[in-house]
Amino acid sequence: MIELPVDRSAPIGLVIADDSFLIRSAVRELVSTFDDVQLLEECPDADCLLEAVDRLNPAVVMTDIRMPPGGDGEGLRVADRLRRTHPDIGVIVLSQHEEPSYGRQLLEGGATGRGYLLKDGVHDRAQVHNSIRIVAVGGTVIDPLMVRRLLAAEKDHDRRLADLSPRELEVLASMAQGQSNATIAAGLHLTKKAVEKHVGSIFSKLELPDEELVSRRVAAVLLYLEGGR
Amino acid sequence: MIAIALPGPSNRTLAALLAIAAALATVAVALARMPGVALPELNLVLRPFGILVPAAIGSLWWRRRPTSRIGPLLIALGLLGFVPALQLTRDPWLAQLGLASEAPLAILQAFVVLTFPSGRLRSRADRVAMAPMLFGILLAVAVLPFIPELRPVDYLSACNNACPPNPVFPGSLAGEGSDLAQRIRIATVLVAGVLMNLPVLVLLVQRWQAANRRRRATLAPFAALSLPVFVARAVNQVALLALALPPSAFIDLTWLTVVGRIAFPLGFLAALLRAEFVAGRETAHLIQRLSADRDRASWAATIAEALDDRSVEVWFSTDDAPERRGGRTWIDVGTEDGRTLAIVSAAASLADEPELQSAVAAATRVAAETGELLDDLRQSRARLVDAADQERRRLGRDLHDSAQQRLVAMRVRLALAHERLGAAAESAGLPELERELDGALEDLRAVARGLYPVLLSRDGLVPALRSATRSAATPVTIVDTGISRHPELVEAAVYFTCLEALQNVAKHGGPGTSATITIGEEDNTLTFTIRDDGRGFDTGTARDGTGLLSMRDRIAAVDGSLSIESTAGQGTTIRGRVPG
Repeated sequence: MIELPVDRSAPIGLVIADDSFLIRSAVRELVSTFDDVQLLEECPDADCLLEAVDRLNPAVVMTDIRMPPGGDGEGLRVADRLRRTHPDIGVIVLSQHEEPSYGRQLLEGGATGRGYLLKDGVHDRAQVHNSIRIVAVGGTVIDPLMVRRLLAAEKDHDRRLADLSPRELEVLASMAQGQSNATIAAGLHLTKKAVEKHVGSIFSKLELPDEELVSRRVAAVLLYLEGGR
Repeated sequence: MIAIALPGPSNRTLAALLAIAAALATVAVALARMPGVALPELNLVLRPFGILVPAAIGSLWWRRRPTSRIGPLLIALGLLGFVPALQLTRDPWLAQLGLASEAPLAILQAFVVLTFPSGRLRSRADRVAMAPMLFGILLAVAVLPFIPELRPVDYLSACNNACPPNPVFPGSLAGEGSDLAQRIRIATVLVAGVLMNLPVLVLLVQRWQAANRRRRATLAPFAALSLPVFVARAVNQVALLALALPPSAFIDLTWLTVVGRIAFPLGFLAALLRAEFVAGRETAHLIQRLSADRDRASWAATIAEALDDRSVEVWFSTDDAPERRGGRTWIDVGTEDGRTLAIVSAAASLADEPELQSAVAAATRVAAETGELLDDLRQSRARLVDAADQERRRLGRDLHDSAQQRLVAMRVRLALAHERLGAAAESAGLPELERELDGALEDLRAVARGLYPVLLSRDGLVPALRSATRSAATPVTIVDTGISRHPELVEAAVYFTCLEALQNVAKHGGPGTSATITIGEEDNTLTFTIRDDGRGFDTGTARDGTGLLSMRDRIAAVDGSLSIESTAGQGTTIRGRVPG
């Protein structure tokens, strides 16, 4: 994961939503250590979150995937709704489900400014910080931990994945996390051209249609990891 | 369990009637022992037989088929069978009475045969057939006073050329007149013999043709035993009255009559036994077919086939009660405590076959009760499984909502503390705590997922199985031939069965085993196959371990079926089907 430059002059406005008081206060404490992030509001449910978004116009929303009253997928629905009402707001969905299909659903309407993080990884301060900053500028984040675990599990069962070179696997993991070719190149210390070559090779080995757009590329890779091949 | 609830005869009535029959038989034996009887041995056997046997078989009929008049008619035939024995006396009046009774008794016999098995004249043709008989018999009796010497119609009652004189014969008619009367008598008896027997035979042939196979099975022994007496009587009368045969020929003909008379009542016994046998067989057959047929809508067709009656209709307790039209036989099928299970409607003619009504009632009852029990069993299984699933799901949620949230929050604080402490965190043992906590979170997630997979209700069976088998110990390939969504209980049953099967593969398959799960759909029936290339086992000797048993229970709860094939060394294949 690469470090983004910190801009203290214009802090990123953040609203968090989680029905658990414990999680809210832990996240609050975590976020308070980020110089360029300003916590605007904490919400226990979706209604409060949507109201706070209208009122405070944050740059990023970090929401639990499930909240009262529905109890499942509330966070995903909020993300989908904000895509239409507030296309500039970045949304990070915190989820306990290590399932690529949830990530894919989040990106279905477009990957711009969307992040899917596992709750198990929320303690990773750098990752949360980076994810907030990436979605704030329209980037895409899929939890690297989930991607790593999925790749590890699939590699045992899938001959095509086993055919990938270690470098290609690294590139694939970065692709699955939603990184652009430039970001991948910077992260892995490669030239952009070398990354493009690896991407082409991965797509042909996995028999996936080559996707130019990062958003569609993430979805294709996630679908692959779901086992929907 | 049958609609007809007419009480049969009481024991006292039957006992009284049989006692009278026994008394009359004793008197008949005494008459047969009188001097001058032509064939004393035959008379000794045949006279009491003709009284006791019809009375006994009639009693049995009356008891078994209280709605039929055959029983009382046979008893009447038995009791009246005493009267012809009076021919054996030397008293002219009594002998005259005995002789005159032969013809009316023959008519009663014909009536019983014609109206078998109900004992009632059902159609106009039946009534028309009886008319010429009555006329012929009346004429034959009417000319009796004009014959000087009482001469019996068969050799059984022959008086060895010492017949008593006719007490009412007017002396003035001696010669010409009496010859004429004798000729009239012969003519009428002949004509009546033909008129009596022909329509009965024609109607019986018609009835035979109209009867279905099952009725013929009952009619055949009856016809074979009860009809010869009519033929024998006709032949005998023609021979005795119209032909001048030597006495030895009469004795041969008498044997013919004897056989016919003995066989006549036995035909009714045979019919009854045959009907009961057929009914017993039909009961067993129907129970088998109905119980095996879970689709009650086709029961009417099955019963219709068994009864050879296309008009059969069946109502169940869940249907609206039918309007009970007349001209049909209605069978109420109920439980022992009086609850109606079903109502069967069949053709009116079934009223003559109470044994078959009982057969239908018994079979329908057994099958309906079995079906209800099976339904109850399946429903209660489904309820149990569903309750267990709900509980698992609730537990899974609770784990997420309480323990996991708490641990996640703790993990965040621990990370923050780690950062604040810097180098001191190492010596405080924080990294180890963090690893422990990560492990606990990982374990918790695995437990929650094993309890109830979120993907199952969200994305369906195949994605849930893909997710669950992703990190399985055994490499699993999932082949989805394209299935739609099914009720949650059904999807959960198949899901957990597949996982259970994979656990068995991991446990017993041996190293290097891989498995393939194929999920498909046929006519809204979900089909699934779990095939592995492991060690396999001998299905004959392997005990139904808890794994297999719980799989079967799960699948049975959703009305599905499961089969397991395995050969030692060649892997195991589990196949299942669940109706959608």
